[in-house]
Amino acid sequence: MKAFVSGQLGLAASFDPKSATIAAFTSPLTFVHCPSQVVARFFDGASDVRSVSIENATELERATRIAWAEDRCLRLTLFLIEAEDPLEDLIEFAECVEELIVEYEIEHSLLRSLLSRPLPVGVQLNEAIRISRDCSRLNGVLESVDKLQPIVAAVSDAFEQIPLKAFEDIGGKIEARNRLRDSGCFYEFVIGLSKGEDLSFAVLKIKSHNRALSLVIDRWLASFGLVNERRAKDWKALEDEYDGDDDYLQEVRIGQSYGVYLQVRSQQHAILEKLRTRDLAAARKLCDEMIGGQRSFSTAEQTAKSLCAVAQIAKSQGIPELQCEWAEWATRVNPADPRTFGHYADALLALGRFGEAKAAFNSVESAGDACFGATGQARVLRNMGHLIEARRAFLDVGTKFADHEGVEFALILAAETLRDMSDVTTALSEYQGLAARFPNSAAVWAGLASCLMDAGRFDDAIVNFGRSEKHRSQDGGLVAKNGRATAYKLSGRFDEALKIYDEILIIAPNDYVGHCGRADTLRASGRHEEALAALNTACERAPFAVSPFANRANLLVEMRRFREAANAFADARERFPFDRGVAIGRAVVLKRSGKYSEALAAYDDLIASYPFDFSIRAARANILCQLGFVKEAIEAYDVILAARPYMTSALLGRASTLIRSGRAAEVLSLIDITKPKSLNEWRLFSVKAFAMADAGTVTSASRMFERGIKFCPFASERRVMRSALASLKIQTGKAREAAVIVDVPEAEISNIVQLHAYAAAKMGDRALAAYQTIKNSEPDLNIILLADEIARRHRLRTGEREHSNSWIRRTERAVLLFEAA
Amino acid sequence: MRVASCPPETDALAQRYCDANTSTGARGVAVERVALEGLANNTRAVMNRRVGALSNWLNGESPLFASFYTQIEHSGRDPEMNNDFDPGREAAESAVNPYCYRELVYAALTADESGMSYYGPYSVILKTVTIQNRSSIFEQNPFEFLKAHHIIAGQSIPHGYRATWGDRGKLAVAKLHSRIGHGASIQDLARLIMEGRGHESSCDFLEVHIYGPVNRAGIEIIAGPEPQSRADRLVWRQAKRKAVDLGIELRETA
Repeated sequence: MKAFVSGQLGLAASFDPKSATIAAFTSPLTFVHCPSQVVARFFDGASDVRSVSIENATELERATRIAWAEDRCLRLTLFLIEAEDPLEDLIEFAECVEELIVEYEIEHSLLRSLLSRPLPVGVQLNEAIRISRDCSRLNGVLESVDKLQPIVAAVSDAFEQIPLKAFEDIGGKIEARNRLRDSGCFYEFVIGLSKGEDLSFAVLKIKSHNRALSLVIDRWLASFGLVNERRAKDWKALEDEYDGDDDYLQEVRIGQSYGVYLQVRSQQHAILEKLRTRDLAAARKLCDEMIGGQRSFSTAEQTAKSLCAVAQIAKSQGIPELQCEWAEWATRVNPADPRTFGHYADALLALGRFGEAKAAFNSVESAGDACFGATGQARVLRNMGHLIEARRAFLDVGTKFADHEGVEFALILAAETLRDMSDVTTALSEYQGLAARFPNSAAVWAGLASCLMDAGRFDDAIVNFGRSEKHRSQDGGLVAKNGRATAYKLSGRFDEALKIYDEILIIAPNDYVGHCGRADTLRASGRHEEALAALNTACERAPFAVSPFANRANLLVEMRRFREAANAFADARERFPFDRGVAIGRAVVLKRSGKYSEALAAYDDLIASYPFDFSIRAARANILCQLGFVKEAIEAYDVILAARPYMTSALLGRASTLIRSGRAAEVLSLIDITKPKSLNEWRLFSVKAFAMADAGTVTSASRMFERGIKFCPFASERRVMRSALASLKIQTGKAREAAVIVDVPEAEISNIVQLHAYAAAKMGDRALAAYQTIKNSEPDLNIILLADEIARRHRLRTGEREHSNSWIRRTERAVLLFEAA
Repeated sequence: MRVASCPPETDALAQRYCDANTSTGARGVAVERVALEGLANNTRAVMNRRVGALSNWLNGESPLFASFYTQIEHSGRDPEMNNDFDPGREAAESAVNPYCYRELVYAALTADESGMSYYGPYSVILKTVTIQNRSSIFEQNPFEFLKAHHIIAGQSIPHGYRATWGDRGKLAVAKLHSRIGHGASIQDLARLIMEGRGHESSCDFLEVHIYGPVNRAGIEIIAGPEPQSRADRLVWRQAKRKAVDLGIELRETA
């Protein structure tokens, strides 16, 4: 292993590509691990950093200690020679050097350094020699230096006489001098000359370590008359002989046998088993052994393929950090193969390390797969939220690589980016075109089906999921089955959805998508405890997938079990430190538990960590609104929409904030939607109806809600509109009609509206039961205050009215808008 | 410095500062935010070094601090290091300051004279007058910044994350406002500007980018402990004497 050492700093750094170890010379030696890119800062201010080869920590410790002792010996000796300090200090300098040079290596280094350059004019060693008379080793060194000064001066002058043109510039000359000094060249020459020895072997040795300076060394020796042309030729001959001895290793490529192949497969299987039980240390060890073996019997291409294979296994088991580690290793084993960089880039993308992913995709392009590399760059843009740029980049790939097999993937992602931007109509049209162009692609049919689902065309979606299933047999049709179940769930046909999920879980009991889908269906139908149990099972069955853990935490938030939710998010954060959805958990809990001030700080922190994530900025704007900073909230939404004009959550948030601030008319002019199709369009439709109600056109608003309840294919939106309509009926004195509207299963109506409708319709028992349900569910403060006021007003509890009718109306509208937006 | 004072940078910083004021107002910590800004406006630049590097600086033939790139240019440093450790650093620093990163010396902002002891126990506080007209302040360590913002070499960095020396208070507020607590004391706020764990690599701080070399005559204060080993104690003793000769204030810490 290579390490860098500075004696001046008493510091060494050894490193692997991911983390560096810094060893500082303290007693005992301290070790620190840090990113390799940070290491260089430790060495600022040092001029003696050099590389050494070490095997282990003990050697690193020794290298650091020796380098430090060498520097301190030289430094204190120079202080002693300069004699600018008080006498007692000079004596202590000498004593300390004497203590340090107990090892020959250190004494030799001191002598070597002092002989590399003549002492400055006027500096006399006599005083230093006198002070150090009780320090025998140092005294000996100083006396030698004193005696050899004429030769030191001659050697040094000879070097200075070498013309500058032998180097590139003055910097090159300084660099050469430092290199030759560090390799002991000055010392060897001074000692050799002082003893009248033949310098041939010394020159050979020095040249072998400084091949680039071979000519410089010849000119140097010639300049003080020790070499002529003939000798230079002799040395060249000797040098060639020396070179021959050094090249004793010859690489022998051995083709991989079938036996080796079988062994590697069995090792990969063992790695998979270890990953399944999350025994990462054992998996790493097995991988090291597998690759160690392959280095002897396989080519670099085969070894890299094995690493890519285990990286994919790690990915399948939801361990992106290991996927990344192994994929990165593959790039080092076979950097010429674009696939290795492709796997690595994919892993980096999964970890959210977008900058590095971009660089890796660059490598894919330069290694030869320009189509995959360019698609990768577009994927990075998409994951970072730059949707317009990403789509353009995907389409560019489609044009530039029209005949490449990878173009299908790029065009699917171009259509998916439209879905991200809520442009369902165009996405659908693109998918229809793709289905005609790639009729055998399971991914295209699944994408088309998902698009139809976005548009609320659930029956068509189910048909197309079936087509996708036909073209993909290896997953047992799970994707298509899950897609069909999702379609039923979104349309509110919960029993049919549950039936399909149960079928999926019989076929694939560990399929976390199925488990999560089933749990979400139970949640949507109000069966929260059952949903929680289903997610607990999913977490047990798929401990390496983030979705079950994130969904469980979010469900606990919805169930207002905030402490448990916070713990669940913390647990998920520990397991999945790179997942953004989990990272925002704390802020979500604070927001939903009504701790808006703390939530605002948490979202501000998240913005610093995820500066490109505009959904976090939208959540911050929402919090500002909740805190009553309406103007500031609208400004925040404006900033978001300037950058992401298609972002529906920001549009909805801005619209609901305008309604809350009495600017409903502006919303009516902004939202131009008459025939909603997608979920987001239905949401905008709802908010527009709220705005109409607020602007005074209650009848028109009621008609819109009635139309929505009748035609909206999305169950969640129908629930919002049913609650809103009931609320409007109460406002207009039609409490009985409101009671009929809310007289549906619990999950289809807001609890607070249900309470209000029953109470206003004088259905005492039902109202009391609804009130009790709200109180038991630990809602946020606004809902408690509202429920209490409704209960007091309708004598479900004792006490005088504390708020006006308009307060009730405003608060109820705010609660419903919060849900709608 | 020129980049930090150009309109796109100042406008983006103003937007961040405005958002910070909104958030702190909404959270009821506007008073503490004002205190943080005031404190940050009085911060100084601190560099941390080990005793050997400090001795080099105070005793060297050149009075100038030998920055990383200076060492490369003058070949006091092993060129191999540039190939192994340093490309990441160079990439990060060149992304943040593409035209002048080789001319920069790096320091941290300190409100209470504490420093990033992770890089060395000796805090060297610089005289503000010698650097204020040639320094800009950056959000954090460039390497960490690029990682957080997913930027690779060759891409430009987003605006609003650097400030002129005079605007360092605004940058501090823009960066740190979400961490301001109710009733935060001056000590608490100083610990936001530079976290109280300067001995850890992950310690967060605002970074000072000083254009051009730093002369040892520009040192105002050196603070640090007496070393444990005899040799280092002697080097420190000599450095202290040298510092006194140069008119530098010395603080020996425990």
